[in-house]
Amino acid sequence: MTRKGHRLEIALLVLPAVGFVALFLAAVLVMTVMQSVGLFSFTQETQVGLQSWIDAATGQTWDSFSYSAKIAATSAFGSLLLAYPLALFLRRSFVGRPLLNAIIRVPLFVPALVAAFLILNVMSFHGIVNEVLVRLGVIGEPLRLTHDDWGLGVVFIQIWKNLPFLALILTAVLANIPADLEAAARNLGAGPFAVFRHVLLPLSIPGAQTGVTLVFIGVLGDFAINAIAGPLYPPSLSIRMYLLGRNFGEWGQAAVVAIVIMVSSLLFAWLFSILGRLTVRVVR
Amino acid sequence: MADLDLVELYKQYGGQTVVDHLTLHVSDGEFVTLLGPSGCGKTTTLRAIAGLVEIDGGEIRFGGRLMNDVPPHKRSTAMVFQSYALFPHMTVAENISFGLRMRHVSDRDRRDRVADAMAMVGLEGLAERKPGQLSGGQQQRVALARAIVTRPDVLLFDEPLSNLDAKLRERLRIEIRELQRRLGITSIYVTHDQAEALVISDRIVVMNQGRIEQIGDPLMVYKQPATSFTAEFIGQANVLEATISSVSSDGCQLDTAIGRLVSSARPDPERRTALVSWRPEDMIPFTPDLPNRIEARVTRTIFMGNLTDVALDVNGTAIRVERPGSVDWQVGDTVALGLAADRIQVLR
Repeated sequence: MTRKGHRLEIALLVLPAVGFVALFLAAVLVMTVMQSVGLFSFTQETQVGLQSWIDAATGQTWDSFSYSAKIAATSAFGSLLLAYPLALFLRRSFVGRPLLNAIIRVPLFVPALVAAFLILNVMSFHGIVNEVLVRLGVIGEPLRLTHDDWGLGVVFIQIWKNLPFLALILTAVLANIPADLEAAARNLGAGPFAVFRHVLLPLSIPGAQTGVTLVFIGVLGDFAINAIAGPLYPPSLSIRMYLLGRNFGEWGQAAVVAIVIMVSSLLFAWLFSILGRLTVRVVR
Repeated sequence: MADLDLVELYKQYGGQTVVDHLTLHVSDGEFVTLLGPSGCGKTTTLRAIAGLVEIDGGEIRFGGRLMNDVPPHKRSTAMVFQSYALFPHMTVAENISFGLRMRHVSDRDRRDRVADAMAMVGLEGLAERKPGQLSGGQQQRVALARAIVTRPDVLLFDEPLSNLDAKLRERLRIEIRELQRRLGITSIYVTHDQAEALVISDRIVVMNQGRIEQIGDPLMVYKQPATSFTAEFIGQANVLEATISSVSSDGCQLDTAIGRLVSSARPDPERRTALVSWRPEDMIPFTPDLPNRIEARVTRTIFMGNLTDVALDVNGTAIRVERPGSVDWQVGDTVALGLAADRIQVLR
């Protein structure tokens, strides 16, 4: 086969995936940006300008943004803090390891919405936790664990859902660190904690960073779990976007919120990569 | 600096004995090689000395001090790994200074000692590189510098050259040996490469199935193998079964499948049978002053540049001869070969 024919073949192989992503992502992105500046409006006259941006720049949008970012950061780093020791523990071989491995993966097989609904039963105002605590006399009246202003219920569900995912990534990353590196560090005078601090920790940071970024972006743009267990105010960014478009017909402003979600996802991903690199530099 | 003692060292994995009551004394500053095939227990022994493998029995002593319960990071050993085991997230200088940092050596001392070590192994100018940016040979040198910079009691080498190409391997062998002589650090070197062991060692410990087959300096291990394992593992050997027909003060007479052989070895007169061996290069064209005359038919010749490897047949028994340069023997020729009495070893 000629070189040219071969190239064509490669192009044809790659095209479905790349073409699909490029075409639809680009089209949607362009549409969104255009809508945010007044083009392709569903409900209003086409009026090019920054009116939607000005209208959307309210305290409410800021509340939604800071709420979503706070929930995302708490969920991502909370999952990391819980998953990391677990992944370290799973490096060793012990009798119950396969069982433990299986148990922590269960949440990966439960759809987020179903999980949220199930956990709601446990945590809601008249859920199992509150009922038990009240009956035992630990608390006088039920605690507001879901739909609370802080979003604790959402964080709880997000961590339940994302911890196994992070543990999976971290276990793989830690397993990929050659045993010889640990042996070399011990041989050179590093005690157990120094081995962790100077070898395992810095070498697992890129994996942790990837995991935290993925969880953060997922939670930042979450709709479903906030709809079920989130506070009445502020709505998450996604819910706000939906409300603006669907309930108020402000599709331009909804597009602005969509852009805020996408751009802040990118910015936070970038921030985490800098944070990761700085941490490696500090701990190595 | 210290001498090293292993006493009845014992280790098993899942019921299988890997190191079988191994006893070895290594003097201060000596370079000892553990030589054997994979699975003979040499690497396990090395890792046990470093404390990276827990032993199931026996004693490990550095300078008389019992090390059994001392954790690896408190034993003064430094290991050069087969995989080099360089920290990929640290620069060359950071890798080398790691051991000093763990020992809380001051910044200034650390800088000086790292620079010294780098100069010693020829790594000048590479301090700020990451291991991933270095060639295999350079990585090996970093591993070496990282080991010697801590001035350990015992240097441990785990097949450090086996991932390098032949030319570099030969050069680094000699460099390691010279460096060790200069520093005078007691060293244990693990390899399965007999040529490497012969070049680098003060003494060679030939290991097989967790046990020591023979200990001796390179010349002795090569010239006077004690067992058929040693004879065949180090270099090439012709090994035959023999019946000992007589033993005198001059030597013995041996009946073998290729006829009666005269050897200057003096085995225990009580022994009836033995394995005998000699090196292929010790068989030369027959001259009347040689006590052993062997007529053999050439079955194959392989020219290897500096020598020719010749396979021969004597009444159905295969033997090998190595002749320097090329030979004009043809397959099917019958040749008369001679063998000096002192070249025939009676094995244990």
